[in-house]
Amino acid sequence: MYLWKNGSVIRLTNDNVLDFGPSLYNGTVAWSNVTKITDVANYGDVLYWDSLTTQTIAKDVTVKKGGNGTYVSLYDGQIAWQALNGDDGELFYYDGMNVSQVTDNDANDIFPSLYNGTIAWSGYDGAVDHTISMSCG
Amino acid sequence: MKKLILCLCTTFFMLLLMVTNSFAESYEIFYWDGTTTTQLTNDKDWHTSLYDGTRAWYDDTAGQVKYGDGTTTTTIGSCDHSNTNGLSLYDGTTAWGRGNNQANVIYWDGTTTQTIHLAYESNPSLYNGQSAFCSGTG
Repeated sequence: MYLWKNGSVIRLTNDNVLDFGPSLYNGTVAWSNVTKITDVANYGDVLYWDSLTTQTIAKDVTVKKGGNGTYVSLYDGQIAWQALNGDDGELFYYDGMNVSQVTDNDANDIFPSLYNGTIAWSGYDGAVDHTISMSCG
Repeated sequence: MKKLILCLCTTFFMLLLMVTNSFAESYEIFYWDGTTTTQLTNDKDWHTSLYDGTRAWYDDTAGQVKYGDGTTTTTIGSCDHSNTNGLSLYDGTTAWGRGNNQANVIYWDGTTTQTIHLAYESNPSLYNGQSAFCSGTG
């Protein structure tokens, strides 16, 4: 994990797990990692660095098979993230004290963006565009 | 002889032509105000970032990165659904990841864009002129 600040790049992590998807807020950073890889899915944690120490906000979050990590969004100590629930992604929210589940449906809810207690995200609307293209090899 | 050449050419080009089927999932943007969820878009938008009433997003229909301040919408870059790696908005500035094999981060300061490219950059997050992002080998 790297932090680009005032034209300089600072390395935040140096470990043997894959750190992924940072979210920055006022000198603090949240991100996820991959700690366990199985044939079914990957699993990781949601982490929060308050500029002094790193806390684990959620453990063993399910990431899709082969996935790099889960997407997190940080705002003033609050964190939103996505996690697999069966085959589709759901959103979770940490308000600084407790974790709650924001979505619970059969659609794929991913890429949360958190701002002051509100969240926007991408939700699969059920449509699939099927395009056939031809290209020269 | 002409027929033979024509036949060989036709066969050659048929072998070169590869028919590919691609299934692109269609996404829309949803918003949770802390209590209620509403659908914000209905035109294949993908990956959004919020900041104080403003929003940046990928417009999958146009293949563009857009920024809306609540009144006007500005196109600030190009995108490809399968080739995008994160998006972040902070106070009128936007950063997004683009590319697969030679991925990099594009930063838009509200007027011009610059590219951050060290190795394989993706999933930037902005805050007040600072950016955190992933970097590694692709």
